[in-house]
Amino acid sequence: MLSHTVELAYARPMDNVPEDSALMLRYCDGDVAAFEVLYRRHNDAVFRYLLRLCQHRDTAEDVFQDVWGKIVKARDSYRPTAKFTTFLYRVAHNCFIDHIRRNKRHTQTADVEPDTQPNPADLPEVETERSLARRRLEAALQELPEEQRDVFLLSEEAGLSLDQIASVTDSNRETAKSRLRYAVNKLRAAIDEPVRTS
Amino acid sequence: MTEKRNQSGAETDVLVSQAYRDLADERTPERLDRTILRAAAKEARPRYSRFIAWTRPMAWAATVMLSVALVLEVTDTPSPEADAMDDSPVDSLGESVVPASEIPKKQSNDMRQKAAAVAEQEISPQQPAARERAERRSDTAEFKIKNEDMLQQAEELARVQAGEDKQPSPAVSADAEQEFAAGRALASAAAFAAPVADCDEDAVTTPQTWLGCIVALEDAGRDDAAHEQRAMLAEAFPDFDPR
Repeated sequence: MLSHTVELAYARPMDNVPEDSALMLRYCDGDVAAFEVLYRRHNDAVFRYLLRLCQHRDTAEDVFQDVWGKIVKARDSYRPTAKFTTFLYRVAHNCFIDHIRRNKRHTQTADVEPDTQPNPADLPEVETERSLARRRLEAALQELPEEQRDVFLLSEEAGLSLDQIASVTDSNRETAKSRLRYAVNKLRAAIDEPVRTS
Repeated sequence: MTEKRNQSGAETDVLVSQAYRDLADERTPERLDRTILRAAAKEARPRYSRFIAWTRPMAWAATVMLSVALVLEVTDTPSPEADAMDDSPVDSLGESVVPASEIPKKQSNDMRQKAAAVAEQEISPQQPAARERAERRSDTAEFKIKNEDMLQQAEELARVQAGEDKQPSPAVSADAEQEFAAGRALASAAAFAAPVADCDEDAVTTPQTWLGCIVALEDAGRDDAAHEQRAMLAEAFPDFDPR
């Protein structure tokens, strides 16, 4: 059963792009180049996911390093029983949860970069409607409950399905679906609000 | 209708998704990339490579050193057999023969006791081979030493007797008969305890006891030994008539 899965993971896909699991298995065999390809494929998305979750750049970098450290360490025990992306974001999610438990400083003390914090007094008059919507989305995203933000980011950054999101967040599919719907509605409201007021 | 399903099936909003895509343009810092890729490369290296890199040359060096040391030890050290051959003469059976004068008295006695014990253990009527082996041992150094001692003592006694009186007195002849009987008994006991022994120290102190010992040897069927002892007796006591 396992060997069959490994063979499938090693099999060359139709578009000649090796799958994530195949790259990870090659890295398990000592192919560092395969890991680099895998890393370049996911690093930015994972970083953004953690940046939005942590709302603090330094913390996000710490957790990001922790996540990839665990992926590297998992090379001895890795088995392609699930989609690699699911495995990767489950590790990222767990690292974030662990970080929250370790450091109680993760509260609402958002350390948002100055240029991302909307300040109506400093806004240039020529700023476009789209730019404003972007800022409002950023603010709305930060105000989302942690579970809803997590589910939204897993959907947008990782492209996970509801089942996969439920697997990553240790919840059931309906809970994940509900959280996602709430998150999307709130963000949509945040985007639409200035359009209606204008 | 802005709601759609993304490629994985999760419901989302196109407008929200588009807005988020415009927003999310952060990239991983380059230093983080370098750190993680370096750690991954380090982890991918075989863990035992450094161990092997040290142990292989060390194992070779240790093997070579041990071999050289062993060869030097074998070539430089003279063998114990060679030492023995150089230091002491060897009799016909391959055992070293040491002159009696060179062996301390105590050691000589110990050797005699040891020989007697061995003879007692090994000799029995049911074991002719053992008897033969023990008889052969009687020719070895220990018995030669004993015979030499006896010879010396006999010569001394002969000198004393020759100087004092050539004819033994009646009292002396009575004593001689007693001594003869005692020598015979001693020889019989010695023959019983260790038939390989010819005549021990006690038996050769006087010509009478010596003669008794010779007769005992003849009774035991050891004519060769008896003949040899007779010759030694005649040599030690030329004036003594054994008839």
